[in-house]
Amino acid sequence: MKIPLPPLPPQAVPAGWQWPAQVPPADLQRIIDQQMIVFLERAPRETWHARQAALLDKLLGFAAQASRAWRERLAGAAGSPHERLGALPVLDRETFRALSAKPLPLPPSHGVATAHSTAGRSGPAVGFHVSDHALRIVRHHYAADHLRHGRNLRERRAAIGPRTPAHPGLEHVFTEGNPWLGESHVFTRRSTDFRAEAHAHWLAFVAPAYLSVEPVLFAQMLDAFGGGAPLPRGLKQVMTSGAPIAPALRRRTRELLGASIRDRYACEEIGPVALQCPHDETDEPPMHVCVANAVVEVLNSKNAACLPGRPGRVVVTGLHHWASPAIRYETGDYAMLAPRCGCGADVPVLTGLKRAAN
Amino acid sequence: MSGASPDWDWPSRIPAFHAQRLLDTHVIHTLETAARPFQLHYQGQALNALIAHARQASSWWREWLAPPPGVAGVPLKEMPVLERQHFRAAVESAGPLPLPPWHGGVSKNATSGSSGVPVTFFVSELASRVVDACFFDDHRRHGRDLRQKMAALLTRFAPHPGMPHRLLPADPAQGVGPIATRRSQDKPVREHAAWLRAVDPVYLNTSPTILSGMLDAYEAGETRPSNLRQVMSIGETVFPELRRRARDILGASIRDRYSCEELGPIALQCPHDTGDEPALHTCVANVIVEVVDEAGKPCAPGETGRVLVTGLHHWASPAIRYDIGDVAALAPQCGCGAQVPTLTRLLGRRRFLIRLPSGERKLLKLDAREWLSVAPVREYRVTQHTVQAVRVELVMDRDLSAGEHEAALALLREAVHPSFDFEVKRVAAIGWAPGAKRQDVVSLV
Repeated sequence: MKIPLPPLPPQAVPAGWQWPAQVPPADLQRIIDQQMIVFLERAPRETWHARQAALLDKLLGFAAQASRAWRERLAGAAGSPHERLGALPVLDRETFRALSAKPLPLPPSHGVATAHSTAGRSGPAVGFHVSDHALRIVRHHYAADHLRHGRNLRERRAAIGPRTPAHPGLEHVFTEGNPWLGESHVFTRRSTDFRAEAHAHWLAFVAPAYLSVEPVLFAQMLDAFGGGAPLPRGLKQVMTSGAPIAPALRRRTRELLGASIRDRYACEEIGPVALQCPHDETDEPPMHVCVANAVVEVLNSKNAACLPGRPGRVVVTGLHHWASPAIRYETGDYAMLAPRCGCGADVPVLTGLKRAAN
Repeated sequence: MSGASPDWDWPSRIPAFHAQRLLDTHVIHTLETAARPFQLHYQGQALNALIAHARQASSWWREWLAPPPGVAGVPLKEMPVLERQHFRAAVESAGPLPLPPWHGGVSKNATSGSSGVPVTFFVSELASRVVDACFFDDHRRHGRDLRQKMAALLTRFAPHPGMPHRLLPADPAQGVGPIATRRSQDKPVREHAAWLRAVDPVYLNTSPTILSGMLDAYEAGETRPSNLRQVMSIGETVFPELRRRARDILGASIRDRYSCEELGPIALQCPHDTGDEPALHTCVANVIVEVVDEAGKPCAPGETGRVLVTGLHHWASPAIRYDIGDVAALAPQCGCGAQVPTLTRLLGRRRFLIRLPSGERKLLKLDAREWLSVAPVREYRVTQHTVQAVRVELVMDRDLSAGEHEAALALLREAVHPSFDFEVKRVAAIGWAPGAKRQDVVSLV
């Protein structure tokens, strides 16, 4: 592409912002949530553990009250919220499907439930529901991840993914950033509409500082760069999700593009499960469990907790997902769990992640 | 969040004060790091609202801000400069201006008189909130871990007879460690030095004068604190030598805050500048800062002049192009990359700077050791009475000898300027102005 990228349109200043008098509630909520998520990640264990206990208590109480099936499932559990959780049966995919056929009746504070389904990566697709409240927490975890990794969101960002609406005839579309949230525009592009080599050329043309992309496609783009496609300049970080990241991919990214990969481990049913440690620069960095969103366990074949450093099945409990509760939900993935990170964060970390499809 | 307080139930709810603070510090940070056009857009809107309010709420301000005949609107730089006596007149004329509900209640404050002209004024809850948030955000700017122990040694604390300090306990649920607060004017500095060692904080909030006195005590043999990393200074000019001494003696860096009592924070030290004369980022979320010459025209970048400040949120007692009596230079942005106007060469109060024959202002600092090299001086004050005449008062137990008198004159000619007429007198006591701050250099010119 020889025609240079045209200047970005000036950012509109949102009309609802009249700080310090008032700001739009949704923006205020995001600012608070992302700060609280980062705060809990950095807090001592007793702080985030107490918050988890409070949220678990509410979740278990709600599920038992809202659904006979859940009432039966949760019957008999006693002790602290975490103890009650540990005494519950592991929720397999089929049971989750059956329990999630309809959304549980939500309190007003959780908003409306919308229907979702898994992509079927680890088996037949499962339909479930997610409330506005849970979606808010999920979105804001990803917003908080920008803070964690020190990203300047005024620098150019790009995203290539399957969920971008089709944009026939256009190389990409814009998402306008909110200057009050420290954001500029994001260039988004639908991954399925172009081949990897075209994506590679496009990336060199747009030259973002940050790119969000799935690992499989990104590896193909690196092949294109290695095969002679022009290299993008100024790329700092590549945000990945959807598949484990091999050390070799991290090395290739660093050597070819001078950028680092920052991975996010999530499941469709509850959103972010763990986010890459922002301080570990090795090729197999640990993932900090998203303690503000989920309780994560790694279990052996007898459903007992694995010792730290021993691989096992990843089982998650979504703390905010009330419409279709995922309580001790078996993701189908495998990993090792350690009680804290070498960087000093007092949160559990996952390493050696292997996805169900692998 | 710990479950101990029912108010903390994120994500359902958190205490309104904390939600407000999270929002405010976010916005302050966003503005400091934003591109200049965005800062100007925000400041322009806030300024227009301030001026409209002042005009609407006060006949004094309507008259003060009246544009010349035939002129529809006047840009800020062409509005009249508000001297301290005008500010006092404005407040006396109207009291606290009537405020819209979102500004909250109003409290009455007064300046300490360090400018020589004490002023009573009013501050709204909203303005106080923004001031508080600017200072709180400064912790994040300088990478402070607020779970660590902090100490504050200042004049503004209430007396605490019989107690070494008051302790604000830690709140781990909110990520805040203990804060020991101690009133600085009630004990000699040597005792403060010992207290600081006993408390052994990671961060200390105090004035440069107190810090300097404690450093003297540590150099004289008092046991030093071992954990101090940063000293948050306020209220007086920080000299490069003080920064070096703090670094050498305590291993701590000084992080200065430039503020005025009427409007709160004006500029905060650049967190990236590790030099001994660091730049200060103006608090664009709180004020508009200008530096003008004697004729009121903007100084060139880097040229020293009078500091004028406009408080964007101070609606109860507006301060628009307020001359706070200080001298500094202004650059359009900081060397660290932040696109905020940045103050450098912050010389401090004009009235505490000697006016040289050239018209320039000079910061004069003659410390105790230099005087003691001349004579056994217990206190001193240098007062410039006219453009030519400087009077020096020395508190001593006996008269100066002829040789000491000559040595004093030689010191003054070297430190000030050889062209002045110096009068050096031994006095029994110096009539300091009321208040805890003693200014040892005063210019009445």
